[in-house]
Formats: sequence, structure tokens, C-alpha cells
Amino acid sequence: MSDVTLPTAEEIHQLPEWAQLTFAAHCARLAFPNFLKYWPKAPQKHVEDVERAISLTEQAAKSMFHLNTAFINLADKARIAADYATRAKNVAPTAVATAAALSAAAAATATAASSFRPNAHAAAEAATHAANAGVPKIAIHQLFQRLLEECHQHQLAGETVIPPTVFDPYRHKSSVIDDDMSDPTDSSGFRLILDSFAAEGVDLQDVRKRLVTLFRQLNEYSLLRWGKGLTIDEFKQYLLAGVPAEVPS
Amino acid sequence: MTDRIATNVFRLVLRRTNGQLTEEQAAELLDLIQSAVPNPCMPKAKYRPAEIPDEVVEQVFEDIKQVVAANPAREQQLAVNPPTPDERAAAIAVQAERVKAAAARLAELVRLKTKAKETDE
Repeated sequence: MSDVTLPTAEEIHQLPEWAQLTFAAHCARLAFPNFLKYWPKAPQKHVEDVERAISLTEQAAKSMFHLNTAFINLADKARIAADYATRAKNVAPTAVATAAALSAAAAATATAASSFRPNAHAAAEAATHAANAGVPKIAIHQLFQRLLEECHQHQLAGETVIPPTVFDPYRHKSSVIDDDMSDPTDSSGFRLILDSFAAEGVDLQDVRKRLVTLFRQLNEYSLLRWGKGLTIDEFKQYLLAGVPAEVPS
Repeated sequence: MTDRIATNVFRLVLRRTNGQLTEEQAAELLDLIQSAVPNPCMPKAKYRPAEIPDEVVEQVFEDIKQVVAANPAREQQLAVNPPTPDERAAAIAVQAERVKAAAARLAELVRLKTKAKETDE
């Protein structure tokens, strides 16, 4: 996977114009958790501006009618917030890269808003900065490929407005579970939910190993106790969104 | 683990092979885990589903798939050659401690919050 490359502006240009904006917004969305992770003391105002700008970029990609003066102003605010991060003291380089990704996405948004034309170069820049901010290249690559495939599938081209259902930024494809793992014959009853909250800096590979070990031990207990093993109904990852409602002292 | 806002949450939802857990089974498994790791009090924070999950998610699926794939053979072995009641009780007691130890090991790295949920269907 080390030879995975980021899509170039020329490649992004293959996408319909509004899908290019979607791509930039998604890159910013992928980078956003790192903005909070690597700059936990970011002023709340800037975090909110950036969050709103990303959300509105996503909305704009779904319908060009959302592009108005207020939207342009918000894109500018996001850019200011990102610039602030690059100038702030004691901010980790990754946070600066994240801010740059958000700034590039905001630039793509502002370009789209001012000229009513998305900008493939700004989207490519957002992808590059997102990678520098710690977003895996493979994730960006897969995102681009998925957008490309869906555009072909839905025959979207040129200036076609993207139907909201096509690029829902929060849609999660849980296609990893095989059919033989989800074969309930009795759908009524109880499920056990285990939520693992991991703070920044925790080795997620260690978390994986210990989580799987816990499943293995619970499975063996179930076999011994009731003669039946366990399986997983779902396994999902959630990321910190927006501003924490409460900050510990 | 320090009392910080978590940046990642992994939600694992378990059920019994070919069905759901009964209320008693879910409560028993929950008691086991919570006797080792009580549910924590945590600062409130908002989370959203990861659009493109970390590769850790796919690896967990793969690892658990292997465990689940071995279940039919284990189930058959226990049905054909069942342990004596004493052996079974001893094995269950040992296994209960292993579950607690595994939960405690996980809780060294993360805040572990557990609950049972009734299915709607």
C-alpha cells in the first residue's frame, strides 16, 4: 500500500464539478479530527468556524443553491481559523498540516462560491494537506475512487447537481462482514454493546489486540456456559466531532 | 488512562451465533465484564461515525472472523463429548476469570463502557 498516490488535479478533473467540491470537503472532514487531536487548546470560535465551513461545503456540493454571501463569509472565516493555527505558538506540525488541509478546502469552497465553479487544483491541494495532516493516503485514494465509481454509476457529469443521497458524508459502508457472520435465525433478544473510548496517543493496534482477546474469552465463556459461540452484529468507529460539551480540568 | 476527551470510539456489538442473547445471558456477560471494569463516568463529548474507518476496524473484523469460523467445530465437540458437570463448572469458573482479565487489560488503554440492548425487531 506504500505506493498509493494521491489523485492529481488532472484526475480530480474527471469528476463532475460539484463532486470535486465534495472531494475537497471530504478531505477536510477526514482531517478535522486531527485538528482537535493535535491542537486541543484551539480557540472554540475557530473550531466552530471550521466545523461549520466543512458542513456547509458538504451541503454546497449537494446543491449549488446553498452558495450565497453568508456561505462565502463562512468559508473566509474557516480560512482565517486555519491561518491562525499556522501562526499560533506551540502547535504541533501535524495540527498545522491539518489546518492547511482545512484552509485548502475552504479555498476550494470560496472559489466555488465566488465563481460558481469548483476548482480541481484546490481540491488536490486539500488532499495533499490532508495526507500531511495524518490522513492515510489509502483512505484518500479510496474516497476518490468511490466518488469516481458513483459518478459513473449515476451517470453524473459536467455541471450536474449531485443528488444528496449519492454523497452523504456520513454514510458508512459496512461491507466487511461476511454473510456467514450475519445469519440471525432469531432476531428478538439482547445484544451486548462494548464501547472502547480511546484518547489521543493510544496505540490503536494494541487496542485491537486486547479487544479481540476480550471477544475470544467471551466467546469461549459462551461456548462453555451455553454451548453456543458469539459473533459480531456490528463494529464501527466513531470520531470526536465538533467541540467537546465538557472539558475536564 | 487520563481523564481526557477520547478522540476515537470503537463500538463492538455482540450477539449469539444464529440468534440473539437472552436477557439472562446478556446480563451474565455484562456482570462478568463490569465486575472487573465498572462503567466509567466520563466527560460528555459528541461523536460521529467515521466515514472511512481506520484500518484497525478491518483487522478486528478479520481477527474475529477467524474466532467465529472455529465455533461450529467447538460447538460440535462440546455436544458430542460433553465435560462432566464438575469439569464444566471448573472450566466456566476459570474462563470467567479470563474474561475479567481480558476486560481489565483492555481498560488499561481505553475507557470501556458496556451495556445490554434489547433488539427492536
